Amino acid sequence: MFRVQTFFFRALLLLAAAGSPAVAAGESTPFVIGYLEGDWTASEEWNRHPADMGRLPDYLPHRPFAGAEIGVDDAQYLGRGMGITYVLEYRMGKTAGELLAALKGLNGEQGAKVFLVDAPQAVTAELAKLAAGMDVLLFNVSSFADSLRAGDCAGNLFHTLPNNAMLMDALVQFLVVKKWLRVLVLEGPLEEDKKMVAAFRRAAKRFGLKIVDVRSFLLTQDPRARESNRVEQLTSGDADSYDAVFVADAHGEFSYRVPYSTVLPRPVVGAHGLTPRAWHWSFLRHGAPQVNSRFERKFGRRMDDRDWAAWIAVKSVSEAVLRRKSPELAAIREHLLDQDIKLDAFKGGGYSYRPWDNQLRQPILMATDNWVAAMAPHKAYLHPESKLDTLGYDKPETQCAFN
Amino acid sequence: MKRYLSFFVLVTALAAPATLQEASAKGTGYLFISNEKDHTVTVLDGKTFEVVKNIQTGRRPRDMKFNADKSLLYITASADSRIDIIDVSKLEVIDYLLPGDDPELIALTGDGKLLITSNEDDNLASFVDIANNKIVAQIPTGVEPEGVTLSLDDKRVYVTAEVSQMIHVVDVESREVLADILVGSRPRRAFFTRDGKEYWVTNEISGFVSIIDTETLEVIGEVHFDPKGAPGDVTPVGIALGPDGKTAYVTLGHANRLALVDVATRKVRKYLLVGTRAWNLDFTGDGKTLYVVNSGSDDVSIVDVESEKVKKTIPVGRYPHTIKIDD
Repeated sequence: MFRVQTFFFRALLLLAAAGSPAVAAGESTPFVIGYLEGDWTASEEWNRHPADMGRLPDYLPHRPFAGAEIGVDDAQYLGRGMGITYVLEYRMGKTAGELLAALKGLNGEQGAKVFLVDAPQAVTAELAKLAAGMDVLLFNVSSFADSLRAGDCAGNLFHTLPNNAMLMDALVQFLVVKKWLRVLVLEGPLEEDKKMVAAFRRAAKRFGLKIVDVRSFLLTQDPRARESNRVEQLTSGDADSYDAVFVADAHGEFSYRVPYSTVLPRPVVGAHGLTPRAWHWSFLRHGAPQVNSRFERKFGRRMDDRDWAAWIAVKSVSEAVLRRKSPELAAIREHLLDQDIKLDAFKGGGYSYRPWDNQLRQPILMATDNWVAAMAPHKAYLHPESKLDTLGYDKPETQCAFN
Repeated sequence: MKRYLSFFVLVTALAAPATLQEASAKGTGYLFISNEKDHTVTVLDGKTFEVVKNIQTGRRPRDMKFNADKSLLYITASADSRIDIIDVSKLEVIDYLLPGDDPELIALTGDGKLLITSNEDDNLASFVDIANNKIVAQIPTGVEPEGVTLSLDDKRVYVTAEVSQMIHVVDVESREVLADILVGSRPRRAFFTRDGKEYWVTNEISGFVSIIDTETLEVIGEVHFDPKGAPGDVTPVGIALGPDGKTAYVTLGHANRLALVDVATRKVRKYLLVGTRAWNLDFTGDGKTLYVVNSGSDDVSIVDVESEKVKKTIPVGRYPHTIKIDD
C-alpha cells in the first residue's frame, strides 16, 4: 500500500478539472498502449453482434477503440499516483505483417509493450506468432473464435472477450435449467455459422441437451428454395418435436425473422431472441449502469461486447501496474496470471485469467433486445475450483499448449 | 425556487428550531426508508411497523442524513440531481438543494451548514452551502466516487472512488486533497472508530475491509470474511460502528450475511443471516436495535443488538436503499 502526498496530486487534479488530458510535463512517464485494427471488410466475423446488424448504420464507423478510450480515461486515475500517464495509439493494417510493422514501430519509437488487437481471428493468430519472442503482450478484444483459445493459442495473447464455447455453454446451461431440452438448430451457410453450431453441439453434449435436428437455411427470396429460406418450412414439426429453436447466423439478417415465425410457439435463442453476450447496454446490476452511462455520454452510442472487452483489457493492465507498482512487462504478466486477483469487471464478483489459455473468466449475460434475462454460470453447475470454469475450455480439456 | 428558498431559510432559522426541539425531545420513533425504484421515502412506525406515510421524493432517492437535531432529513434524489429536504415534523419535502449531477452519498457537518456529496458520473465531490443552496467547491476525485465520510471533528472528508480503488482525504476548510490512499477493489462505505484514529472502509469486489490510520493516512490492516454456506460472493458494502464502539457491523451483500467484527482484534466473531443484497444499516438511539436494509428482497431485517439475533423482517418499498431512525 502506498500513499501519494498532496502537492503533485493536486496539480494533476487541477489539470483534470480544467478538462486537460492530464499530462503533467516532466513529471509523468507515458505508458503507451497500442491499438491494432485489422481489416474487417472481407471477414465473416463483421465485428458486431448479429442481433445488432439491423442497426448497422449506427454501428459501422465504431470500433471497440471507444471501449479502449474509456479504459484509458479510467486508467489515468490509477496511474497518477505513480506518475504514469496512459496513452492510446491507434494503428491500422490490412494483414498480420502490416500490423506487426505497426507494432514494431510503436514498440521502437514509444516503448509500447501492450497492444489491443481488434482483428479477425486468422490475422490475430498470425500476429501473435509473428510477435513471439518480442517483449510484448497482446489482448484479443474482438474475436470469439474458439481456435484462438485452442490450437492457435499463444502465450503472448490474452483474451478478454469470451469465446464461442463459453457463450454456448452459458446458453445451454440456461436451456437445461429451464428444461427446454429438445432444440431445433437452424444453421446458416457461413463458416462462422458452422463454428457456432459446432460450439453449440459441444455444449449440448456436455450438459445433456438434445439437438433434434439441424436444418440449413439460405438468405435468399428465391421461391424455388422455400424449403430453406422460409422459417415456416424450416421449423415444421409436430407438437412434441422441439422446445426451443437455436439460430446460428453470424450475418444476422435471417435470424431477425425467426421469432414469431416458427410453426410451434417456441422461444428463439442464439443469434437472435435470447442471445449470450459478454456485455449488454441494458444490464442494470453490479455497477453496469455507471459504465454504460459513462460510455454513452462520451460516444453517443451503446457499449457492446467488444467495447467492454477493450475497456476491461486496459483496466487489467492499469491495475496490474498499480498493484505491482511497476510498468514492467514481467510484473504485468505475473499479475495477470495471478490466480488470486479479483478484477472488477462490473458483472458481479472479481475475475482472473485462466493460466492454461489466457482467457478471462467471466459470467455471460443472456440478453433479449432490451433486457438481461439471466446470467451464467447457473448456480446448479458446480465446479471444484471456480464455477466460472464450467463455461468454455476447462483445464483438463484444453487443447492449448504454449511453447 | 428563490422564493421557495427564502421561505425555507426562514423556516430553518426561526420556526423549525422551536418546533423541532419539541420533536427531537421526544422523537417520533419513525423509521425513514428510501426506496430507489418507487421514488418514495416510506415512514414506518418504530413499534408497530405500520406505514405512517409514503413521501413522494425526486427520482431515485438513495442516501439520507438527518441534521443534528433531527428536524430535517436530507435525501439524494440521484436521477433528478437534487437533495430533497424533508421536514420531519410535517413528513413533507419542503425544499431541495442542487448539488451537481447524480449525487449518490452525502455527509453533513455537525453545524448543519455544509453538505458534501459524491457526484458519481462527474467524478467530483461537491461542497454545498446549505443556507444559500450554493455549490461552494467541487473537488475532482477518482472514477465513480461513492462513500463520503466526515471525520469526527468535521475537519476532513474521506471520499471513496470505486473504479480508481482509492480513498481521497480532503481538508474541509482549505479543500485541499491531503492524500490519495490505495485500497482494495471498489471501495464503498466507511466509519471512523470512536477515538477517531482509524477509518474502516469496505471493498466490495476484493471482499475485505481496509483500515486506515487517520494520522499517517496509511493502510494498517484488513478484515477478511469467510462465512460458511453463503449463496454468493462476499461483497461487503454497508458498514457501521456499533453503539458501544467495540463491534463493527458489516453487510456482505450477495453473501446475505451481516458480519460482526471485534474492532480491537479486527476479527470476525459472528455472522448473521439477513436478506438479499444486504447493504445499508442503522441503529436506534438507545443502541438496542439494528436495522439492515436488504435491497434485493425489498425488506428490512431487525436485529436485536444484545442477543445478536435477527428478530423480524419487514417488507418495505422497491429497492430500499437507506434507513434512518428518528428517536
